[in-house]
Amino acid sequence: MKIKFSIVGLLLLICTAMAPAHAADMQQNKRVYFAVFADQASATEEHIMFSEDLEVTWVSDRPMREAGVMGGTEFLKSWRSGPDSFLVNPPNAVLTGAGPDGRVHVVVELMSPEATGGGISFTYKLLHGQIVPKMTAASLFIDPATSGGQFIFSSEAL
Amino acid sequence: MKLKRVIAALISYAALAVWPVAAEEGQSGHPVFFVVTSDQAQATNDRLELSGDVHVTWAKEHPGREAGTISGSELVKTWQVGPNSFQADPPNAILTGAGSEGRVQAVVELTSSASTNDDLSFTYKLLHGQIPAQISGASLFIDGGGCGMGC
Repeated sequence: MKIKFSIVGLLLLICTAMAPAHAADMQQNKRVYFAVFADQASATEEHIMFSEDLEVTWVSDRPMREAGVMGGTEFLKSWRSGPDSFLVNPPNAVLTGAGPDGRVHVVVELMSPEATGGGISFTYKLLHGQIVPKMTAASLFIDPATSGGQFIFSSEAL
Repeated sequence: MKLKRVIAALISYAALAVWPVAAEEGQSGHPVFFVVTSDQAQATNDRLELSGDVHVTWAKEHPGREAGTISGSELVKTWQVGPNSFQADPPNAILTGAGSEGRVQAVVELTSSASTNDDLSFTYKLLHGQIPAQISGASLFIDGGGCGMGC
């Protein structure tokens, strides 16, 4: 009988310990998508540069419905934020824009963002499509970062 | 006997407590996100239509590095696929393009999708920003988490 009570106690302890851990995990690890927009973008074989008029929109992953905008500086800080940061594990991104021969659709692995004269440059590896040296109305859609929860969601939200 | 039932109930509860974490980790693999581009988009208060050279690019979330293109009708088919489908839990999306008064940057929840010929239409709820009636050079970035293209 004593053993049975010990088993019940142990199971209760496991259940109590696990539930809050999972809740905290869900609360902390919010997944956030970013989209970077600029009137002009240029590319070399190694770099993509977005012009200084760039803007960044962010949105939480479903089922959350939070969204907002941030500046380039905040975006660069967020690169290093969270347990699964882009610095540790570079994101994929879809680059779209208007090239000289029509619409550009390219998928890249994005690395090492740097502020360059008001704009931002990235190094990249091409995963799909063909990149062109000059684009207008450029958008860069970046797959989700897991944020620590504090920095990104303290930005201008809904 | 009663004690056995209590133990069985506790084991079931423990399994249920662990299951969501395990499911998330299992699915963590590499969900897919989508970007739809088109020459034009037209919007009403709750409906968005993309037309003219509609192109759908997909990519797996990092650390996956696979990517490709699918047709608009294939995107609509993926809406119902997988354990965390867009139909069960509608995706968020970022809409951009050129409006009559400059660049459009809006965030929406996409509540349904349909394809007609080569065009795509969605119903939506606006989450952030403003959507004009006409947009040229439209791009719609749809969040991932689903496994429509296989995880």
